[in-house]
Amino acid sequence: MLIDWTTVAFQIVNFLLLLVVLKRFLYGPITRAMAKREAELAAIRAEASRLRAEAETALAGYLRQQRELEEQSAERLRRAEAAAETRRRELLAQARAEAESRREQWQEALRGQQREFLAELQRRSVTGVLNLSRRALAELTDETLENALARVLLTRLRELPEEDRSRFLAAARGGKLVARGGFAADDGVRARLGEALGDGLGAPVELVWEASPEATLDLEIVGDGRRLSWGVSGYLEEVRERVRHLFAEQGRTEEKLNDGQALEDS
Amino acid sequence: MTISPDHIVIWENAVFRLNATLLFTWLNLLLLAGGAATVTRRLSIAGPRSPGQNLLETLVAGIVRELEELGLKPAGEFLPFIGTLFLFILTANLLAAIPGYEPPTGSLSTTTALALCVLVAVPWWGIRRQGLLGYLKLYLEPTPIMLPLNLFGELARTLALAMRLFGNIMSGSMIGAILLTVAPLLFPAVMNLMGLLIGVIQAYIFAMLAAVFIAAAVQTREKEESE
Repeated sequence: MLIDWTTVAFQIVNFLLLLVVLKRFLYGPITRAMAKREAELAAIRAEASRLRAEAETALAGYLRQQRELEEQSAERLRRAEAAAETRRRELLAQARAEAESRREQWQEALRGQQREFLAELQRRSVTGVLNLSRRALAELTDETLENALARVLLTRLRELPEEDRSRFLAAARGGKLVARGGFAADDGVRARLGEALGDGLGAPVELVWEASPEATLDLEIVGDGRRLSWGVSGYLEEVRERVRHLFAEQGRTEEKLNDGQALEDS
Repeated sequence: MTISPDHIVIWENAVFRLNATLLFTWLNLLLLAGGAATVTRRLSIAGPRSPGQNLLETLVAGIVRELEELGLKPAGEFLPFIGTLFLFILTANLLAAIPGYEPPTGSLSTTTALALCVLVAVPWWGIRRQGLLGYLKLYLEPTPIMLPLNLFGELARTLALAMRLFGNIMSGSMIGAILLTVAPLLFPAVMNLMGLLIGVIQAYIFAMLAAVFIAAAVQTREKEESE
């Protein structure tokens, strides 16, 4: 008989005993260790996934911030360029305005100098002419300048039309005949001028003398709305006009040169 | 020459007779229990693992994978029974290569004992999972007429389980012993290597057939429910 039932019974017990022992010392510890390792690995994987997600989130955030910073930088640069361009235009306009103002000031100063020069020229030329005329007249004719003026004026008076002479005469009789001259006439000159006018008009004349500094070498007789005058003011005025014309031409030439320079600068 | 190690008596008295089967079975028990206790005393979780821990984890993980593939879930419930069957038979078959060792699996008494354990385990898990009536109903499937055939099939497959293992291991030992007497040393050595391969295969077949029988008893209801 190949089957020994006692042995069978012992083997069943042995097998069950082995099962219990192995469950206690093999399957339990090994499966627990494997489960624990799996749990740890799962925790590590979960942690890694979490860190990866955090890293990706942070990366996305940094990329977004970088993009925003670049956009802000470009915007600031554009604004700064626009502000610089605006400032440049302002400064340029300011500089131009300042230059224009200075040019106008300079021109104004120049015109003032011109006026002063012309006035000085007139004054000196008048003085010069006056002195020259006095000396020439004294040396040539032993006559004063004032007498010569009065004589010329009387000659003119005689050449006047009858109507004008009668109006002067009426004014002289009414005591309203006024003599106006740029030089200081003494009483002798006044008396002689009065006598000469009386002779010329055919009646005694009472002459009122008025000194006029602007008239210099002019002498004029005014009465009843009529005026009779002679002097060198006209000649002097002509000289002054020519000098003014010369200045004006010089000024235009300088302006053209300045404009050309300004175009080259711009 | 003895066919079964049951007949090799080591020691006996009036009430008990210690034969080679029991002796080498206990030896097996000591080896397995001592080895497992030694290895699992210091298990490493995160650090480097010892070779013994690696071997045991590989074995356990492999058995668990096979059980899950058969649909036995949770595998932890079936692991001790199927795993102990496999390890006991495997150890006995592999140690057969050592001269003088008589494998307990070469005894029909041992294989019968193991087959009886399977015979009990199958309805035990079937009843646990499906209830007594649900399990008994399986014998009336597909028709009640099949009841005698189903009962016979249950006994026949248990007998086949015992005979297959016994036959293979006993024959391997016998052929090795016979060849040792008639042929040079090299040929029995090759046959011994073949015996090792057959031993591993038989251990796997026994354990897997037991698992398949249990799975068939456990999963019938689940199949019906899923249909």
